[in-house]
Amino acid sequence: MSAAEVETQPPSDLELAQQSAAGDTSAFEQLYRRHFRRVYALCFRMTSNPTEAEDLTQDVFTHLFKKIGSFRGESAFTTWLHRLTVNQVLMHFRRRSARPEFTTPEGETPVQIVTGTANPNRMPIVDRIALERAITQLPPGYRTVFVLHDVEGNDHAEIADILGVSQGTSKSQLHKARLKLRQILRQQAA
Amino acid sequence: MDCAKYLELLSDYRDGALDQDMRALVQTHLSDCLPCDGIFQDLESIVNTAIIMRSETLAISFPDENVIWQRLNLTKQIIH
Repeated sequence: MSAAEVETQPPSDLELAQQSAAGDTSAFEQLYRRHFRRVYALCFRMTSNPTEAEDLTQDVFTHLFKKIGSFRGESAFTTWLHRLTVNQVLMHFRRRSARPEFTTPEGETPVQIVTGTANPNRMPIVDRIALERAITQLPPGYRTVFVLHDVEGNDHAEIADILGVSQGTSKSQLHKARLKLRQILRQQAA
Repeated sequence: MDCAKYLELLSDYRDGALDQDMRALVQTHLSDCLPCDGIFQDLESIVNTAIIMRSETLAISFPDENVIWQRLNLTKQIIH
């Protein structure tokens, strides 16, 4: 690598984080612009609401600005920011959950497992728009695990780490989320 | 095992998380049981659509990042 190439290397996330922690707002702005779309996309997928996603994105970066000094580079910055974003969205769900909702003591909406019969009870062909609409109707716990696993592509170990639950809980929530989605999609088509 | 027990295993089966013996049991059941196989196909369809969503980030209509950045600056002033 030539000296010129070294000079033009963009600063790493860790370098920008350290500069931000020292009060360099232009470094923080670079971090913001580098990760804005990723954060917004995750917020949008978890809420399915553009206005909430915008507000949450703002909250995430506000929180990030306050916490940036605690990033030590032990994990990838994207992983750290991902966790921070999910936690921010979950806090938002908790604040919103003052609304009455039918949940079990564990905070889950009971899933009525509809046993399939022959083809008449099969779900209609699912498209992205129908699935997005169905995801909005999932209880927050199911929605979070489904989005993190099936949409975002995290594995159960990562989800367990992000959410502070066991991998077994993550697997169980994912299965219930998929069954619940099937139920919702069938009802939508009825 | 009855159908309810097999239903509990469908996500693990789909995600390749079952051991070989259990996987074979589920596979055999699905080939014999049309309702359970129907549910499995539905779950498969849901997951496959979610995977398509993963690759469609471009389909998201992103807000103007400059506007949110400006709002962020205002927020920071309040914090300070």
